[in-house]
Amino acid sequence: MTEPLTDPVAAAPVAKSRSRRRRPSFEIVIPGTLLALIAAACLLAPILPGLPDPNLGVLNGGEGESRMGLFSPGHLLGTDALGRDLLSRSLHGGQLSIIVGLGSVAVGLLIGGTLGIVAGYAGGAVDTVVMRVLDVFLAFPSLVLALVVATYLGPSIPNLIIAIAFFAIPSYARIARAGALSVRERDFVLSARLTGARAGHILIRHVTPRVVGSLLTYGLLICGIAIITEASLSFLGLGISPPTPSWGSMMADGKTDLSTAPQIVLVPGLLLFLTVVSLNLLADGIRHRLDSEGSSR
Amino acid sequence: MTTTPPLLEVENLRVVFDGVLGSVTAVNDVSLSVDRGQTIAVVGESGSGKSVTARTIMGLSTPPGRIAEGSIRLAGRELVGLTDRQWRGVRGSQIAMVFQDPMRSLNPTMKVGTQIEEAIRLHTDLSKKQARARAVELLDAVRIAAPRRRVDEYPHQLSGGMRQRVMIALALSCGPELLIADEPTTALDVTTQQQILDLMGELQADMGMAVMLITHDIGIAASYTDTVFVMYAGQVVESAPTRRLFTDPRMPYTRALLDSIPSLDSPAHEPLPAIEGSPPDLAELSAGCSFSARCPRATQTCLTQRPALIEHEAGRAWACWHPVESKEAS
Amino acid sequence: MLRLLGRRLLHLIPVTIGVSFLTFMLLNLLPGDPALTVLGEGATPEAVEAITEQMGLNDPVLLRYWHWFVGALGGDLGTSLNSGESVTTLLLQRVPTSLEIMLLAQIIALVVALPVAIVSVRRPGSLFDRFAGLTAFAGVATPPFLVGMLLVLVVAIPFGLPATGWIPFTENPVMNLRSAFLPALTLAAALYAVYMRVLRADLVTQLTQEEYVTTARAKGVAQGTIIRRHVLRNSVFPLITVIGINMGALLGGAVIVETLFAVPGLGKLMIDAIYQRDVVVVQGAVVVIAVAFVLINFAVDLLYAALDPRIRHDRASH
Repeated sequence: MTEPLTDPVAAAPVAKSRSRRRRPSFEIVIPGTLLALIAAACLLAPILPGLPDPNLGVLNGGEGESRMGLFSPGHLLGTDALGRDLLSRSLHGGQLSIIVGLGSVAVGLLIGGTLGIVAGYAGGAVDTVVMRVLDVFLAFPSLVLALVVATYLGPSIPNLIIAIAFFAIPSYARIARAGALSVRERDFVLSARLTGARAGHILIRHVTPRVVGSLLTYGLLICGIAIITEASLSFLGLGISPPTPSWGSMMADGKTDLSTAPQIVLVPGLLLFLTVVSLNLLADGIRHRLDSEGSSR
Repeated sequence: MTTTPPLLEVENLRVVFDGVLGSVTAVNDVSLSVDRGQTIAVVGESGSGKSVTARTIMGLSTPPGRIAEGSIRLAGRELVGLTDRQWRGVRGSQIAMVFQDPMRSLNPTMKVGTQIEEAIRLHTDLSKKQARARAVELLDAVRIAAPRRRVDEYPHQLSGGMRQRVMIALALSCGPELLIADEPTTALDVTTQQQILDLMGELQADMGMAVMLITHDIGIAASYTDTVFVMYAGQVVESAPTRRLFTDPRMPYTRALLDSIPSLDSPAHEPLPAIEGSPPDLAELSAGCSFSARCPRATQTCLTQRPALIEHEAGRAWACWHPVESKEAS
Repeated sequence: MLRLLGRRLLHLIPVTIGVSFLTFMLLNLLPGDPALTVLGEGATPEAVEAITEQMGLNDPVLLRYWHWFVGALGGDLGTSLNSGESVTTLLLQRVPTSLEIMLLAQIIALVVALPVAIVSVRRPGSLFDRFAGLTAFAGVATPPFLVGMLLVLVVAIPFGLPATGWIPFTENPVMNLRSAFLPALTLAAALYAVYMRVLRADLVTQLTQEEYVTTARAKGVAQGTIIRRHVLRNSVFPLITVIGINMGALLGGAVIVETLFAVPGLGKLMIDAIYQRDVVVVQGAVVVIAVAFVLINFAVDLLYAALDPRIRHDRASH
């Protein structure tokens, strides 16, 4: 008999903590709220009052001289070199980030998650083959893979999503596989198998629900990486075609005027930063929550 | 019994763990003493507070655990309230400790010799070379063959029993006055257990230190100790000289513990009596005796009033409203 | 342990072949005609047909892969569609520059992350710890091109450092380091964030859960010494693995940073080739990057095995 040396606290007040209703923690509420606000502002941008058309430049002078500074009349955050409203472009650009972020998470989750669960549950040769093939994908630096795929597929939103989702598939598969492996030998799955349940039924009813939590939490992180990857592709001029606004291409546009008009880079940059930081903090908060619930069970 | 003051005196020690959902008293009003050269056992189930008591005496209780009350005196010196720096002077040099699992309690990526030398160099003025020579001597003293080779090995290269010998060598490296052994044999197999306990007994006789043996196995306590303290739910419920505790237990809990030891003359194929129920949740202790829920002798008084640990006879104390009748009296 | 190494080495072969095959397929099955790249958009159909035949583009794709693979084994990665230069030569020119920046970035990231993590765990929850945690989150959430532009804004412009351009080491070592500084610092930001978080988390886990820490405390060792002498050496192992895994992000980041700072490295070569649809160069660069990633992770495993006594000594006992 080994006696684990734990604090009595960790073990003792379990019964209470379950009966007491959990208050939502700041770790989850603050990034969650921030994300909701950013998403709402971006998605509602087309109908927000007083926001100019993102692609309509106001030319008042030669090329490059149409830029307006912060707090210009009609343009709260000023305009870019073509006289286009920065705030409006940033919010519209956010739509692309949201679509690509969620889209690539969904695609990666579906493909990677399914592969991982099947590989982990089936084991043996299926497992080996699937994981070896995924190892090959994992050997590509994610951005390089996305670059190549995006270039040759051509710039459209579905193609961007596919290019970016590529890198997420192996990591999803690994997480799902680890989860499926750990569940596979547990009593309830064994008893389901012994009572003659079909593999498909066991996978859907018993294995999947137990893997979904960690996959979704990881999805938040992947969503952040996807948004950064999209911005990077746009920054390199390999994302969505201009003039459709994207955070990455806006920052690339602002690169030449960095010393005189840093806001052109900083406005979309700050939005991007806040979005990805919130996604990371939210993932962290949820993981803490899951961990503490897991340990008190 | 002795006229000189005891080496270690713990008085009314209360250790509390502060949690988000309230505090838990892990050690409640514990008093015990150890004389120089004496061996005592603190016996109890897991969660009885015996390990927390031991760690608190070592100054190893860390937040959220804290000493709420009480005093710990070593050779007359109060330890409660020492600064971190002062504690470090006590730990390893005056009090040393051997832990349960020798695989986990040695640093896996450090040579065993280095781990012993570190302790020696912290508490003595020995040079690196002298410390190393001393480490070899110590390994030899704990009966490790080829100590010169073993000092340069890593814990995973040693067997479980050898690792625990290394832990003992480590603990003895600075000649402590008190050695606390926290379940030192629990992780070992039976034959190794015996060897380790014998070794500790011999080394104790040689070095004249006191030993505090923390164990859940009352059988081990029987053969190696002078005095036994029985703990239950954070409290000492009975203390007595070992022989008398075994022949004549008074607290029903002690009695139940003793009854659950298999012996050669107990009839074969008959289930050993086990204690019904499980220890109480420390967060939800009632006002009465903490053993009352499992006690066959419990009355209304036991449920509402907590019995104090009272010295009823010279050298022995128990906390019980309805003690088991003494066999010696009848 | 030798057997483990052998297995890993065997594992390298299919992954390397898979990587090159996948790249080849991706680049050849996707739309875009290499013949047009060579000749330009206005080429006559006859000319296109001729050059397609000459380049072997009418062969089945598997046969073309086989030809390419045999060439690659002999160190011949083909010739650039645009310049006609040997891809191998182009890559060899560019690799050292990228390596220098990445190595510098690793050094900067580790030199900052180690002490920050160590100080953080001395007092978990302290102001310093919280601030360090925020910097780590910020580092993960900021894409490298944004970090780069911010650095240009707050470092290069005020201090008059060169914002773009590259001076080779052989030409002027001091100026070389100056021109490498900002790109390396940019790459280091994200790495720092990852290393700091991983190291801090592992230090905390070890400090709170490992019994050998209690033993060290029972010996009378001070907390700071416990962290530096006992815990850090055990926490280094997960960190080594993380360093290997992050080589991928680093290689991807290099593409962006080299473009942003106009550094003539492997990433810039690849991006330029992508702009020019120079499939052969893209392919060479991607394969080299992917194989390098696989090899680096193999080297990391070796390093791990060489450093960790628990693995190192298995050789002696088995």
